[in-house]
Amino acid sequence: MKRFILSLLLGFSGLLLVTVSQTAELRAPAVSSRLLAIGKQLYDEQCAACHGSTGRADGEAAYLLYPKPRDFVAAKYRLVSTWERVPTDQDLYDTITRGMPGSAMPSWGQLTPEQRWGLVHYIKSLAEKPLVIKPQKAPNPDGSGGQGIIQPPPAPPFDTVARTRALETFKEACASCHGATGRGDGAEKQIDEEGYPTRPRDLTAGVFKGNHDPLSLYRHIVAGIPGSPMPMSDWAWGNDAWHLVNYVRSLSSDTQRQRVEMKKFSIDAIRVKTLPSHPDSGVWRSAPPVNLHLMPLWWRTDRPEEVSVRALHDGKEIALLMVWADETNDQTAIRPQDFRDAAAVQFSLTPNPPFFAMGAAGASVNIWMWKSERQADLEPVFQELDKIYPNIGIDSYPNIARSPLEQPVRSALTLESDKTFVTGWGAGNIVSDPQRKSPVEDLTAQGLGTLRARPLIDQRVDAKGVYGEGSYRVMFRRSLAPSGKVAAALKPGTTVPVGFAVWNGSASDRDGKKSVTIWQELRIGK
Amino acid sequence: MRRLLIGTSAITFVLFGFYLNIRENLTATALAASSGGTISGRVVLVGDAPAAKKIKVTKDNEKCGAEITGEELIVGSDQGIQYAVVSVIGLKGAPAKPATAATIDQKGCVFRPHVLIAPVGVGIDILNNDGILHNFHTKSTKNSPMNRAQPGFRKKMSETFSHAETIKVVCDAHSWMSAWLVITDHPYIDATDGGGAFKITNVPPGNHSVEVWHETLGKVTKTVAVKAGEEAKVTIELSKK
Repeated sequence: MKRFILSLLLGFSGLLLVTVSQTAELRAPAVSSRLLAIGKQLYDEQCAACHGSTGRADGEAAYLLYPKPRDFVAAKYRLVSTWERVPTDQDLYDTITRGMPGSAMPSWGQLTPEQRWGLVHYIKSLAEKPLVIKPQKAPNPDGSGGQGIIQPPPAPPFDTVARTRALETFKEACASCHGATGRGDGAEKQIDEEGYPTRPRDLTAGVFKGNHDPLSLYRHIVAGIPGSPMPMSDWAWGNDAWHLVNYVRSLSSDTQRQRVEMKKFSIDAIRVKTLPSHPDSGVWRSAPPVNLHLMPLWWRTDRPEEVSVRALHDGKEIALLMVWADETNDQTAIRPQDFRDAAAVQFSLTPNPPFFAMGAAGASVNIWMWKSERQADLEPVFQELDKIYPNIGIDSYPNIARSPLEQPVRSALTLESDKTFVTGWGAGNIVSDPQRKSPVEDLTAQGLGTLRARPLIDQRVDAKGVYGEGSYRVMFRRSLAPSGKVAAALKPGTTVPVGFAVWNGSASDRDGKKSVTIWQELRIGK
Repeated sequence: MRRLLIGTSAITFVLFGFYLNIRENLTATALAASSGGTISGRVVLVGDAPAAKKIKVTKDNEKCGAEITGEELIVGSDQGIQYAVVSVIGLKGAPAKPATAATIDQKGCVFRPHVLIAPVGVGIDILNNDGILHNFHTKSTKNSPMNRAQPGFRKKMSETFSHAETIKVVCDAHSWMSAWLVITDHPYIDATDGGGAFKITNVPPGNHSVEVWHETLGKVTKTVAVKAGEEAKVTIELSKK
């Protein structure tokens, strides 16, 4: 009898241990010096450029970003799931994993869970005041007196009655700022806690800064988004908030919501007999297209959402095709206010890539950048000032290639001038050379602000870009074998980390003002 | 015998301590109640009063009208500044608990009053008599900042502040709306009326530092001597920066 009871007890305790350990895996791991060390190393590599080396959002890239990166020292987080309006460890983990569409915070889902928890704990350690979450306590029916994590009541079905109620409450409690149709066009200029201009979210665009599952949206409605004008709507506690959640989700589609999430994809470079010579060639159909998600560093609504990429190689050379939408063909950069459309491919020189924005000190990246005005300069001829100002008289240096008798007006156009007087060209600056044969430059960088051209003899990349019907098709072509230092080695059978960027001239994009992807994988077939 | 002696003297000591304490308290309250002084007077503007700013209303015109007059600096007749907060620094005492809760209303898309003095730890009633969406967004540092939606159907909600602080309140749905909550932990405080007049009663006699705060004109301190049973009249001048 005793032994029976003993074995029963053992059995139960075993079961208990198993369940406890299972839930322990699902819960956030506690802080440890090992996790903090992992987090710190990753932070210095991947986060400091925007969030600052001490977490004060003063990283070197911060000036290029809107919305601004989070200040981890002040620790005033936006995405919270507690009544204290403070994030849980899980909230921070989710943000790191998913990124924040609607900003330049990319997804870091490709890091291991341990790495991401390490980042969570390291980031929390930077806060000047620790985040305090009280033990959980359910609120009163009117939404007051809640503590800890917000656990909503079960969701009622979203039937016609619920929908009518949702429309009523939206009109009374949301439309003032979010607009009658939820497009974020309420008539009010708003600022956030730090004083930066901000807009109510366009709920029809499917761009949600936080998770858009029903539970998360419930919490964002009831607790609000602290630091922003989005207030706490504790009056909605109960069914009203569920009706609003369902209504808001119905304003956008899953496809829209998926498209904004920055993900890592694999691009397969298929081997073919002959490479295509034109971006619109039918040979490109042998390569499967991969739709990569783009994010603008300075967020705007009118942006290229995706760039479609294909890759082919023939054992000697590799060809990459980028296709993206752009409403206007901006192909001159002559006036100071003109900016051109451009596209770039960035290769990491190591299998474990450095920071995705231009590499880091000691860890170079190789960039091929195509510019639309360099393309237009080749077809048919170099674009001179008189393309923009047809009757201009350029009275500067003498045009000594022609006799004074042949020049009623001394218009010293570049191609008609002696190199002595076109100083950039004369000095050998490859950007100034009006006789350059390629619309693409081979560049290298070791972090922000360090971009430079590779030597002239190593400029072996060729490209061709065409524009038509609101889209650009640009193909890059280079030998698989690299030439010179700091060139990407593209060996068949290897996988090379690759990133892409797109500039829209009509949005005044240039340099760091652009749309980018995170690191992708280019798998070069054998 | 010895134990009896020790016991009695111990009890005597304790009782004497209580007596002294009670006497001190009685004296203080007695003084305050019967022989405290009053500080009263006006807060005036030095120099020309600027014209009130007119803000164009861009939404909810049925409730908010076409134009709102800015309340950053209201100068009445005879240079009196309204909504300046006068307080005596360095005095301790429980803040005055009014019979009804301190109330701030959102009416005509304006906070009424523009400056509300309320005690620490007591609920403030926030009313919405406009029937449209407002939100009550405090920019506080000592108290946790709060931002609560108050749609038209939510006519009243309550909020309590645990720390003394002067807090700016805004509405994000109507950016011209602003108010100030002066959460106080003592009773020696008053806000000036339309003529710039204020009155602080039951101030213990002595020399006191009186501070005047205004949202755009800043702070000014003045020393005032208070005598028991007398009214110390003082005019405090604020000038534009």
